[in-house]
Amino acid sequence: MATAPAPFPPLRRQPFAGSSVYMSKDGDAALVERCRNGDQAAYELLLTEYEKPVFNVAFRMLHNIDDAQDVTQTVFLKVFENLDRYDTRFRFFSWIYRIAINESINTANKRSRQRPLDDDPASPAAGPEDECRSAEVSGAIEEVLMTIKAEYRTVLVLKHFSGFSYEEISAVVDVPPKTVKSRLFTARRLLRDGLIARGHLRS
Amino acid sequence: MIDERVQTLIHADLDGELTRAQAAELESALAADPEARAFMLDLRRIADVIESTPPVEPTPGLHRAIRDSLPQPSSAKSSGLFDWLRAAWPAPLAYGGVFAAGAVASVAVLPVTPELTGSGVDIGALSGTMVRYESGQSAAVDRITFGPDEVSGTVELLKRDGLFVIEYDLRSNRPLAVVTEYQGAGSAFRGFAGLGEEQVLPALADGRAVILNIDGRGQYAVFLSDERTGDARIDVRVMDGDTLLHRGSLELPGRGAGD
Repeated sequence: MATAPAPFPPLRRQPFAGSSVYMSKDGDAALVERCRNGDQAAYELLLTEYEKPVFNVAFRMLHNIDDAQDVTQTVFLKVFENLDRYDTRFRFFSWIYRIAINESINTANKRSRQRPLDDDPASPAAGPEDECRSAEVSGAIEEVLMTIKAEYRTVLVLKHFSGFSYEEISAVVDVPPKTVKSRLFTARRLLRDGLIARGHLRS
Repeated sequence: MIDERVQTLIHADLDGELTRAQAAELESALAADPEARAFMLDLRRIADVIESTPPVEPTPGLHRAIRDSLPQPSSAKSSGLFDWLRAAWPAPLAYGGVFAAGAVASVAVLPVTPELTGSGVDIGALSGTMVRYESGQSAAVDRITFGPDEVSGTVELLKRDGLFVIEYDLRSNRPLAVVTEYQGAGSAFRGFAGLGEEQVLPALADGRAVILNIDGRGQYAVFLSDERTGDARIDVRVMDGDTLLHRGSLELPGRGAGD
């Protein structure tokens, strides 16, 4: 038996809200504005756009999948809880990456307090070799990365894993590009020294 | 000890920031200093290894875990419909953020349209829900063909994964409204998917009627739960304001058919 439908409300035309998926960094401001207006589709788009990059930054900073996932979740929670406080004069990516870096550092600090240094999984490799495979070097790089101070690890991760420019790193870590460059130089030297100490590069 | 100037040039080279003159300066410095050359090769190798490292994939559940932990936008109300749709829509039609490239995949979005809130279904609760939906996966069980006048194209009824799906592929020569009304008891409209790029936003009136505004091409899917308690049909009307231009109906198959 048919039931009478409710009266139709007035029609309203709007642009289709869900068609855009691949957002440019410049498009983020509009997405943020939509989020602030309660548009949950915009939440989803921001999450989709940044989930993997944020996770990867966290993973490179922490070298631990579970910690990186926890950090990623925390980052998005903080982002969406604090959208009203986000200053749209700055680019969104620098804000979310900054939160990701800070959360990663906080997590690393907590973990180092919980785990004595001699339990660290990063351990010296066997003696020096003339040649080593990229995979071995890659593993060693990740180990050495975890022994480098966070401020240096950060610039290395953002430069080489995330492919950011000096200016972009500067925006994320909020120091001048000149300081970024200086930290990067030091970080590379520390990384090389660590690999030499582990026998993965010749001194 | 490597000269500081040479070290600076080496880093600049790694970052692709050397001028031609600096490149020449570095080249001669490296030729004269084996230690600098080794340093350069090491850094280049390290950078190559890092940059060739593939991104790490988060576990599949992370996206959902994050989404579920996020605060609800203040304008979105919760009535459980979002959860119902998420639970009812099986993989590979799972919720996702990105729809695949191509015309057959799309994202369903129901925005907050307070003035459209009718009785029965809380539209606000569906605001921003997103469903990945791929058309063309099931055969139509009924079809209405319009044209060639003010509106042309098809409206098809499909049965899929325990839901009815109404797919619209229509083209209009001016702004028109397509009103789809469920005439029966039990079932209710549960959501939309936009299937094309040039879209106007569907407006959900309530669980029994869906209004699609079309100006040019309109490609949508509308989901209807299959909870019929008796005979039912779907009435489709093309309206120009209050004027009825075309009318057709989709017959729902008997229970158990088309599953």
